Amino acid sequence: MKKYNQIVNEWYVGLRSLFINYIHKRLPALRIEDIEDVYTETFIAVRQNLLNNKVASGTNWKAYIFQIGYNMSINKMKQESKLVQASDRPSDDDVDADEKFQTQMSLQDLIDDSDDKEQAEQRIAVLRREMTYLPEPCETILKDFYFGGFSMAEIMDEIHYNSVASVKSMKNRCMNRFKERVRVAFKMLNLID
Amino acid sequence: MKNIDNNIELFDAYLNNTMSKAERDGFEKQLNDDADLRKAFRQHKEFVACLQATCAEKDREFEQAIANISEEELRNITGKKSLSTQPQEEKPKGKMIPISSVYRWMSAAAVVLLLVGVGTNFYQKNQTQNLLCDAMVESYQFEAMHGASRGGETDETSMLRDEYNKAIAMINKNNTVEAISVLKKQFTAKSTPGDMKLDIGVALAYAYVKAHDVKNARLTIDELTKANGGETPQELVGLKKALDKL
Repeated sequence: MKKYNQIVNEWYVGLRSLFINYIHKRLPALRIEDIEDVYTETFIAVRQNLLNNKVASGTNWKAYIFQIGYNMSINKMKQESKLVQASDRPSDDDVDADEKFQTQMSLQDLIDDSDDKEQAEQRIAVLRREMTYLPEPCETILKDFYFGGFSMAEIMDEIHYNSVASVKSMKNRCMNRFKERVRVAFKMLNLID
Repeated sequence: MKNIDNNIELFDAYLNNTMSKAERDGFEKQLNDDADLRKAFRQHKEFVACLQATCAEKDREFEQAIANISEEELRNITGKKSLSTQPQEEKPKGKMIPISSVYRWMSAAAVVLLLVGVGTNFYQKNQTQNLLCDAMVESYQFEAMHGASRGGETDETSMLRDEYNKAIAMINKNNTVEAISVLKKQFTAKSTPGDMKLDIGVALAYAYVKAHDVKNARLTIDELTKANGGETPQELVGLKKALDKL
């Protein structure tokens, strides 16, 4: 059982360079040192918001941290007279919003809709186990896209790819390889593929 | 392969409601007529739902953790000496939140400290990272391909590959110290199969680079080159070139 501070530390360390890249790409006028400072402030603000019941249940924390951090970065620039217009923000409207996956799927609904519920539960158990073996960058791409609500362009920045097309292609390769592994696992367990 | 890729795009568009009415009707008709497509679509939905459920669990774990640590513990993690108590409003898209004068002074002090104490070192590291960026991309693709292939392996090899995959995940989460420890053990173990040794060695070299340990990265590449009859393994050519520029 992990300790709470160990879990927070893993998140803090794990998101740090991604956060710096994310903000630097959008607000290049802000110094790296300032972004690092904002990052620590963001975690403090996130904790405060949570304790003050200002965060909705089921929040996607990575997206939330990046959103709060972005706003704090804007504030920091304003404080330092590096004025930016609110419209400078890459809003959902101008960052390929249609490329974002925004549908929440329900496992229970899928099981309920299945002809053979027991088989469906077993298939899902296998899927979830196999998911722990997702290699990088597949894990980042798939989780950011299907859960994080990040666009392909944002994921491209995060994993340092050169084009959105190459991220899309990698995402599809990841999916296909994962499905192949799951197919083998299903076969071994005599589950219907 | 192209057809499968198209299906994934199609499935995502359908689930995401980004199809036109006509496209949607067409897709639903295809689903009715094609049992294979129906099966592939069901698999896709199960995959997405599982992925979302797994991520949501991790988010809940984080939520519980950050709510239950003290200010002092958070201060230790972030390395911040004093805490700002100005919370940010939830989802403040485009909304400017005032920052207190205390925060301004703290920020200024932090910037000065960073510039004097860490700044130079950071820029050196950053420069190293930039030089190695292209090579890193190459490695990510390599890892994704090799890390996933597990079919038909012995239990021992499968366990080794699981550990290797976990080490790759650690590298990408910047937990390089632990990753290096795992990979180094695998790399030097006599029982490690020869074909896996290359994968492990390549990952180890990249882990060293990410930890800014250029010396050991070079030593690992040299060792792999020697084992490869004096020729640098293809997977490390890009990284070696980048290291040579340093």
